[in-house]
Amino acid sequence: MTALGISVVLLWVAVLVLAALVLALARQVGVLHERVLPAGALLLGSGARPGEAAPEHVLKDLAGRDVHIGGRREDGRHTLLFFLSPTCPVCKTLLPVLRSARKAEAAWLDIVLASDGDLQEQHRFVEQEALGAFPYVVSRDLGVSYRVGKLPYAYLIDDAGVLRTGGLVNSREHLESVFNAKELAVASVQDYLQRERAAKEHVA
Amino acid sequence: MTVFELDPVYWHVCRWLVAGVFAVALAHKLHAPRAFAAIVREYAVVPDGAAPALAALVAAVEAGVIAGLTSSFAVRPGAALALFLLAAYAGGIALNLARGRRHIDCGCFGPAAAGRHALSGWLLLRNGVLGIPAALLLLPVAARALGWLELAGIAAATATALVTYAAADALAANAPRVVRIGR
Repeated sequence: MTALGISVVLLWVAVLVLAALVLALARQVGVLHERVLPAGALLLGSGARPGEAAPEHVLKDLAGRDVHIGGRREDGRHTLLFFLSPTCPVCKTLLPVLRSARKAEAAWLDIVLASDGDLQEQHRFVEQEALGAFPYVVSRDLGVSYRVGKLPYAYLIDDAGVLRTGGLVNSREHLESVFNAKELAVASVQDYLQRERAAKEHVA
Repeated sequence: MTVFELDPVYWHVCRWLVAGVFAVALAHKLHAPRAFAAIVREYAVVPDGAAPALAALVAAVEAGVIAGLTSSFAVRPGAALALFLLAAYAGGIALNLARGRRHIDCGCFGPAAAGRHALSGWLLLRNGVLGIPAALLLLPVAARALGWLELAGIAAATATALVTYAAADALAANAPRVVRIGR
């Protein structure tokens, strides 16, 4: 065999191995996508259910402005009701997400922060975290009427005053899932997974 | 007058590549004929009742392509049939893209890949690229004896092309999911 022949064979072996590696990588990416379930806000059994009418409240925020929660809205905007507390560390990690969401989703969404407890502490919290741009309401009744048991908890209320989606949000992905749920018109991550499963069984 | 003649090495690579792609596609279709009929129905190019018949016809023509390309005497008719099928698929895909029915499954590799491959412009490009080796097979081929190195080269090039095709297909199937994450 000539030197050219040998080198051609070696090159073909290298090309074949590399092509096989590319295929394996592409397939692994696919498998990873399958495994990574959509992270989503977890609807707790105790909370208010999507599809229910959102309990209506008219409250004053810390700056003294009127805040209307629930009920039909003529301007077609949705409301994200975000329950948090100055003493909840996970809530603090989500504040940057809320700030960016306020800008990014400004076209259709108002974000209302809701808390409960000592007023002075709330004022300090708003000042420290620079939350002045958000309506910030402090009301025990509000949390009770939405049956919020754990923090941070979020609800998306549509322009008709109906709860569209909601749940416990522990990360940026969870909060984003609330917006995705609105786009996909599903109530929660459980609802989404159930539909996916049903669709797969239907195909099989 | 000299006529352009395709070197037999290229000719063999084209032949086995097209045969291989259609063989994989047909194997998937035969594996789940009812699901494939459902995919054909989704394309909405024939009345719903005729979809199973069209699905069977498509499978039969694919079998004809493979038989022609692997035979020693009917490679050219097989290649012509392959070109016809690729054009027909492209027509069906383009029609449904124009209708805005992007969500339907392409069924390209049959229903084994169901739910994995929505329609997209990439599929049209892919059909066009696959049409190149099929079209080359219609050219006259030079008569020349092949040495063992050339035979090995044909096998290696065909295998590489098939594997690369599968990798490109897998990446295209992943693309929508990557877009979803990137938002």
